[in-house]
Amino acid sequence: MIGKLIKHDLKSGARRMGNIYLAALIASCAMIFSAFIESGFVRFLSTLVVIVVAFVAVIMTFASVVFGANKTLFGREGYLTQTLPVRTSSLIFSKWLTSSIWLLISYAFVLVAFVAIFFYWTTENQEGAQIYDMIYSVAQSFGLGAETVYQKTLIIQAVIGLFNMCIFVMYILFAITLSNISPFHKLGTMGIIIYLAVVIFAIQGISYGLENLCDVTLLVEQSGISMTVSETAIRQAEMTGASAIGLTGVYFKTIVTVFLYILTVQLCESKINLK
Amino acid sequence: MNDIEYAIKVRNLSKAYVKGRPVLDDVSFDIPAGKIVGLLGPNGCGKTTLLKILAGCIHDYEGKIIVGGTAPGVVSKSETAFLPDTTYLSEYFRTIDAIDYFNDFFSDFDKNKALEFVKRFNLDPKQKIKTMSKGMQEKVQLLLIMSRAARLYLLDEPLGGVDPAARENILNLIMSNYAERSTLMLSTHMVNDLEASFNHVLILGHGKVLVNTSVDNVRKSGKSLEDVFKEVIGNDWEVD
Repeated sequence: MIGKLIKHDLKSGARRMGNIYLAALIASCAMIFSAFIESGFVRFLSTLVVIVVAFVAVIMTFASVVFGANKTLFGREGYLTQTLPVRTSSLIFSKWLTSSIWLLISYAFVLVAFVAIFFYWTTENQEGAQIYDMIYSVAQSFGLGAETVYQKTLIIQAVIGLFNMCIFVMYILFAITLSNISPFHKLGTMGIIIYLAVVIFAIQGISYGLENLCDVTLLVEQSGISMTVSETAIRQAEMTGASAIGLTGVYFKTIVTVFLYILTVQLCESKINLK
Repeated sequence: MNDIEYAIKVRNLSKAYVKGRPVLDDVSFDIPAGKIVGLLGPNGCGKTTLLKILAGCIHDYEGKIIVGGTAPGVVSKSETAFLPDTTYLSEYFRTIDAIDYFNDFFSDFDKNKALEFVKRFNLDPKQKIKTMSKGMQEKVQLLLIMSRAARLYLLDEPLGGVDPAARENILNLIMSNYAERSTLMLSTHMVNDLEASFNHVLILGHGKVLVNTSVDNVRKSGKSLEDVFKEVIGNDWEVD
């Protein structure tokens, strides 16, 4: 059943967001074709369109994830969703997974669009290579050493970024659920944004405090990757060009996300009244 | 008689949306399996709330509910077909998408029967729900529910927004397509129109069960269902 839920949630997302991604595809194609037209204005215009569409895609996807989940779980469509012969934990997991996928797609699209624009404007005069060198130099001035360290750090940070996005989706689902139960429902749709902000600030605050208490750190060195809690070891490693990535917050947020998932399921099973 | 011989067992059910103003107040009743039950009562007496609780759409209540031998959950939902009094299909769905959706999730759903209904109602399987009239949307929802071979059908005002000409057709569709030996609970204000269809009646009023008996018992008393309804509801009937 969980597979069917995921399939239908992905389809439902595609129906809601299909038009914006179709526009994104057309804009991207227009940009590619404009490369064959020797007109600076056309190149500029097509680039601008891709940038605008990319940002609109992110905003629309976010809005669609928030309001789509609210509508399908607790709005009118909830009469279908909540009467399916599936466990509430499966319903929430499916929403979490598919929402994360859609947000990832939107961010991936922005990333690809900007990389494409970068190469689009720099391939003719080797500016691309120059900019890469410049970024690398700036990174070195911030303490990053060898190129391999730089690359490994980027990959790890990207993975943590994706992970944080999935965690963020759980915050959204929890905020939506909270805004649909008594007495929290009194704030209406606005409540979703308020509860989301409260959850984010509370978790970030606690995470920051825990990092100060015990900072579990991943050291990315040329020779390999290691983990430490020793500040001396971190300083020594950084002096040799290693990069230090804090993990305390990641661990804490993982635990909080699991807790919020269980709490969301419990609230759905005991407190929800479909209107 | 054990739980399974009753389609529904309700014990001490209370539900209040506003503290101190219960919609259902310590309600207890049993509904035998295999009956066509008329759920009657004035507006605001808790008919919709009761159906939503039985269907598993309301979780915040006090008391004990047994539907088909189990508390509302995965098992009861697999055996219960619920038609709410509102449009619940995604506006992005086409009729065929809704049919595929039901086919995927409900093992008792008969896709061929649903497609026959689509033809009978002159619906376009590829038309989107959001482009349909309210009447067409209600037909789609009804055909989805009646294409299931459920053990319990809960229909909330299925004839509420239907014109008198279509009412009879829809009523015939419901009565001739619900699965044999299953229980059908139908809330309505149209006591006269439906009296002949029911064989059991549950009348709610003032948060309580006022009548829970077979229609035969009502007839034995020499009264019509409407007489009994007016008698127990009193002035609320006129307001209604």
